[in-house]
Amino acid sequence: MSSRRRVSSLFARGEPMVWLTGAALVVCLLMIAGLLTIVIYNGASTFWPKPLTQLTTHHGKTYLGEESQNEDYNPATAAVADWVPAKKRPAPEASVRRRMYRTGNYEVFNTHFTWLSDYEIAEEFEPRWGIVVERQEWGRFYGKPHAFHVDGKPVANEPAAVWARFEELHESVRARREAAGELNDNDLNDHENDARLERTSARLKDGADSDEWREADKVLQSVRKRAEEERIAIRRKTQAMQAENDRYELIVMMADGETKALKLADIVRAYLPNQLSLGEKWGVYLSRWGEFLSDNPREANSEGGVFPAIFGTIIMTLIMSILVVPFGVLAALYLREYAKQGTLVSIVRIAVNNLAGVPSIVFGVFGLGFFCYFVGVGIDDLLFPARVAENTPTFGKGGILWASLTLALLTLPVVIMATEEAISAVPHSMREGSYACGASKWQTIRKIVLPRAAPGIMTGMILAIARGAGEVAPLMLVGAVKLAPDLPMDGSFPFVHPERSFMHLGFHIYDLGFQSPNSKAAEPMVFTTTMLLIGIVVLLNLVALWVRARLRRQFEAG
Amino acid sequence: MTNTGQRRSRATPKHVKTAERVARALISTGGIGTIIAVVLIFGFLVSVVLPLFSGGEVSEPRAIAVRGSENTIRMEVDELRLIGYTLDRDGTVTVFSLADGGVLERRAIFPDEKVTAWSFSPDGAQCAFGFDDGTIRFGTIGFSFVFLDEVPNELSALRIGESKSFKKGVVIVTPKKQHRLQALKVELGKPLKAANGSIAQIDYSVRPDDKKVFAITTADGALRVIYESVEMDMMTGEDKVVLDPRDIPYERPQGRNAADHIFVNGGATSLVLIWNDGFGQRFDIRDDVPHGAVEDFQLTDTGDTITAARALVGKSTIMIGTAQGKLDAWFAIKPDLVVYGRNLTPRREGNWKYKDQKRFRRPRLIPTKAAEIDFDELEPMPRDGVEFVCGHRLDPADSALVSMSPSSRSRMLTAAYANGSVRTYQVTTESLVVETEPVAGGVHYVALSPKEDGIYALSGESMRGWNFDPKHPEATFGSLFGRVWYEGYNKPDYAWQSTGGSSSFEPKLSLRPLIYGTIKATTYSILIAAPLALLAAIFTSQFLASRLRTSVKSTIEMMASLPSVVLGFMAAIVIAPYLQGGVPIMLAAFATIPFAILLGARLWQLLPTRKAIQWGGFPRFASISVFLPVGLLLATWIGPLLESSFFGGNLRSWLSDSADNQADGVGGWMLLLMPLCLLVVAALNVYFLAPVVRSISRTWTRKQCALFDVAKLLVQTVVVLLLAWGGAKMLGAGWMEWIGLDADPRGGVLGSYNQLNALVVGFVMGFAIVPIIYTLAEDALSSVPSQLREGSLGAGATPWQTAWRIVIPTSMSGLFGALMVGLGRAVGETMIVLMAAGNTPVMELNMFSGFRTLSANIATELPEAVQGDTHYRALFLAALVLFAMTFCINIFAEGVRRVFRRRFADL
Repeated sequence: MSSRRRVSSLFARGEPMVWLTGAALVVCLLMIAGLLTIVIYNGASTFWPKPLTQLTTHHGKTYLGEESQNEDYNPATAAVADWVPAKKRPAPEASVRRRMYRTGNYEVFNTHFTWLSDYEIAEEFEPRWGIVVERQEWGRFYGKPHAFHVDGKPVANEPAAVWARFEELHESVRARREAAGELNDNDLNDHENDARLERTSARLKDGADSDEWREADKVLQSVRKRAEEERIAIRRKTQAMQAENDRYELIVMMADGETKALKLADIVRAYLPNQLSLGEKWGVYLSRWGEFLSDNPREANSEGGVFPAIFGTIIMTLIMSILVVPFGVLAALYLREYAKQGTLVSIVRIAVNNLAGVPSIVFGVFGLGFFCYFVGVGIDDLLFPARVAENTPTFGKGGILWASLTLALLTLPVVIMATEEAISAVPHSMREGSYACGASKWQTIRKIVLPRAAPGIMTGMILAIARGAGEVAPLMLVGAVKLAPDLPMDGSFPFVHPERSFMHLGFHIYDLGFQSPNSKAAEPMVFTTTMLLIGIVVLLNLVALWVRARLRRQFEAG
Repeated sequence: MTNTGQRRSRATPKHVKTAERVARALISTGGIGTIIAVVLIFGFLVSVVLPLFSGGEVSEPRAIAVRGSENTIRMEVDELRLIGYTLDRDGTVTVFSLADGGVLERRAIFPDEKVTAWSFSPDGAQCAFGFDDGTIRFGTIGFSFVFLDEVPNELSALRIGESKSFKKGVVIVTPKKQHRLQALKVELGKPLKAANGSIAQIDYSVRPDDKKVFAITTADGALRVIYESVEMDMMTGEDKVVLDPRDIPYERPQGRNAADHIFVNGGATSLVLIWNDGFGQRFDIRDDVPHGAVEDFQLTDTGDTITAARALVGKSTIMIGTAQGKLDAWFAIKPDLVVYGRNLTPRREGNWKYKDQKRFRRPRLIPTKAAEIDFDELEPMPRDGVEFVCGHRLDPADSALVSMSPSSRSRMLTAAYANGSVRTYQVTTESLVVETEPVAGGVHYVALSPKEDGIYALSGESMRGWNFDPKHPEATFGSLFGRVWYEGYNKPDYAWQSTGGSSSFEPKLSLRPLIYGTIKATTYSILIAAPLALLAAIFTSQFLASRLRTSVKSTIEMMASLPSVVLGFMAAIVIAPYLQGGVPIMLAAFATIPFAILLGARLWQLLPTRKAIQWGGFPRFASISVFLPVGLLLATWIGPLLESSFFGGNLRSWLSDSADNQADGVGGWMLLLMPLCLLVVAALNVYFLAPVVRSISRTWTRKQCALFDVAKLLVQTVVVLLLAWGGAKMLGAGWMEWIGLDADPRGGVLGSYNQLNALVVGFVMGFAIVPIIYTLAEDALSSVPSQLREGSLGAGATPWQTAWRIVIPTSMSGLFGALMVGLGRAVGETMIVLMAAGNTPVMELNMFSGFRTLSANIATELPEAVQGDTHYRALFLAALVLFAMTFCINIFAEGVRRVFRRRFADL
């Protein structure tokens, strides 16, 4: 009797089904772990200095580069026949490992990468004096320090001496270059633009050839003249600095024995990867991270930093939250505390719920049509008719203000729902107590309801910020661009420029990975940017979780 | 008196009252304002979309004192609608001001010659003339402008926007206060000898290599194609035009005079002759060796005659107007269902095509034996593989068509009828844009202004001018959602292609492929996400230790806010290239992983009861994790095995039906039948096997039961495989053909492989929506009242029975809601599909092909769209459709949730 019961319970346990549900959970967790591992591994290893390998093929061609990936593939028979010698050939249809080397020297080879199969390689070693040169333009250069020229004459010929010279002089040359870069003519251009706009508005107001127009024209001509003079002065100064910089050249010998002169001023960073100690490797690694976080991008965004994108993301998110929180809280307060609870309010609530599910791209479409083309063009017509006449819209195009407003609309339902939930979680007894003490409705809300709901509101806000920071699709329509060196906040009057286009980390990933002319070389940078973006979003989420936990504790205690 | 002894002031302090009022006002206005702002979104989208469906507008007519006659062979107005010209049969050009009809200039452009044939290009001002002495001249008659450097006194009073006749043209003041003089410009090339006799008809076109090709018929009945090339004269260094005439070996059809119309199509690949009784012939002029007629056709219904024929912009479509007032558009198509009859009997040499093409889903292969071909199904194919068809029939009028004027920028066309009415059509969408009041006295010639903003009709007494606004005729409800027969398409079809390279591009604005893509992406991702998320939620809420539960849940929750651009990037850069190398492994994994897990569970059952209970927590979870990789390993072994035994060693080449892979369709059918067979076996198991097993296993020990279970799994697996294989064999062996369908599994869900495909999107978008479904489902499952669970367990039910019979039914509304929210998210997801779906707007069921969704389409095209034009508004409509789709999903979910909630209300 007892055995029967035990037996039937084996089938009733549904062990296989439990296993299936468990497997689903494992798959979910593994996918998350896998994704994060790939991103973090690739992202974190991007800047780590890799050893430099010199390879010689059976044909006698030499390559020098960093290994960047490897794979197994089936080579075409014709290609195999090309690899000598015959006895070393792999079996037909056999899988062969090949490695991709970043060989750089783009202006010489016209490619950044070279695939080399294991069977092609006759010899492979890590040259002690291999040097990696990161340059302002054309990407990396690989070779050996060959000579150091001052004024076109060699002052050092031994690699060690050349390297010593380089280290000695590089910093001062770079400093000079930076100083020359700061002597720009942006202000002059701005003045000139202003004067020209003045003239255009005079034309619009009083017609061409009117006295006002002539007056404005005179001003413009004088501004132009002055600007031209100043420009010449600046150019003279920068030319002097450049001439001083141009005296120093690093001569690098490529793997095939050819040499190439690199101007010291164009070199961002150079190191000897095969001689670095662990500490020095960390030094290069951290200095690259520093550049990444604080510099402007170079080379069609595939090198340099992402500072404008970080800045743009943060500023946009900030403006968005300043906009969304008050309105979201007001709407929630109205719905919970002031509106008469009835059919209308529940319809509104359903509508708000629905709005949370509306695709973000629809908000982008609305933002473009309403904010940029309707409100923005209206503002332009009213305030900047001269710019409209010159066909340079100010607000009538995508900009950081419109992007923030669009995202504020997008996240509004999140904030409203979270706030409503937080407000309704405040026990009625507390409100009633407050009323019983003679407090007015507003006093109750301000002193009792809002403080208790504050952590909940904060959670909603942070969730909204996390959503906003990671959203890209609507931004593509309302102002995120691939390159915007002018930050939306800077030192030129009026300091805040809400009409400017901006860079965004998410859009940067899309643009770099898919629109870049050299997306292969940009791939490591995309991983790093991805890691950064995930980091920011996860951080914001952790804060939200922490706040929620605190809120729960507070309620349990209270 | 109060307890404290202080007197309580009765009146509320003023500042409290003020604060109260201010707060109420502020919160109410702010709250209502915010809610209104939200409603505004929908209203604004609608307001942008609505003009798309408003019809064209035409003003009251204005009489202009210009007279036409039957001899008028051409009339045109300039793009600013200031001046116009008429050209008469005798070569007289009359330039007139459109403001008052005043004649500005009149001259004869062929003073010494007699024009016998003419051809005006629909794309611009270019034209060609043939003369009675057998010469032809090519040239331009159009409008040009200059800015006056010095403003004469008589014009100085003009203000911006005003115009006045001046010399041979009209001066207008531009917004920048420049004086622009608009005048006629006539440039004609030298006469070139093309034939001996008088030229009867002429037309020309430009080949892709920029050489002109003229076609003429002469009065003595010859048909001649002339290839023009420009050579540099070695002596003078000047360019010299050289003509290379080729006679087409051609016998005029019996009983016919010379043809009445001649057309060379855009790109100069074929030549069409048309007689006024509706008969037409087409010639292949692709290569320099002329051929006879390749195709005959009848353009009109019996008894009807052609009164006018003109080519539309791009010269692919010929518009045929008839005496009965019919207006048809004819163009050439390339039928793709062709039998290439190379090995046939001599009588049947040549290409054949199926008469009824709709029967087949994809191009048919070449039959190997002539005996397999049923010639009753076929008809012969013209040698250039092109067929001339009537693509559109526009709304007929009840009187004869007199004159037509195609637009130079779109597929619009203005037509005048004998009763004096003037109609403007959009040919692609077959819509009648506007129709004017009839002009008294009939119309000789009609012209549509270059910017499509004015219609001018020339009658015997005067000219009528209408201001015209076509609005958005390319977009009608039919063209946005239905099939449209576009130029060069084999049949009416759904297509989205909003911009093209040339000015004569025909925009294709059907939202259907985009909606299809959206649904495809959603389906594949929900198919992958729903089982994963729901099962994981069940495990988390029912079988996972509560200590682990919180951390597992918050980990997955956090993934909900993972930026989708990251996932899209991973899909395209990491996952797609990786999957491409292992399609069979991936397909096998769908079967082997569940198999491995089920096998693992059976093996677990072999453990003694005490151990099974003791290790029921983490060790069990850990061993589940171990059997997952086992399944994967199994897949890496089975996948290549399948590939070599059923797909000729290469699944991808089999899918793309490449010539060197001759494997048959059995493997494909097997893949398709597998899920079905699995369902059948599972149903058999539940409804027939299980009760039997339950009754006979009463006396078995636990160990025996467990062993039986292992055997059952193995047997069932074999049965499923055999069933699928047998079914596939039968389907492949002719069953499908027997019921009239294609015997090849390719062309449906299976098809040629693209790196970025629906499966990749399904995986990654599935990953994107798993967290949201999981979180909501888990919430729903854990909110089932604990007394229900405890009651069930206390009554002796196992945890699985409790979960399956009690918890899941009770929380059904929540689970369903979770699925719906995930569905809504998937519908609107943009970045993943933008990066990983390949972005080609095709409509294929194929799980290995890409697609384009509404959202990705908006993201790629809206930044480039011109504000306010048809394309821009169509994209807004796409956004609105997206909005409506999510809205419907949400409302539906809400409704279902209510039904369920009512059912379980008393719990």
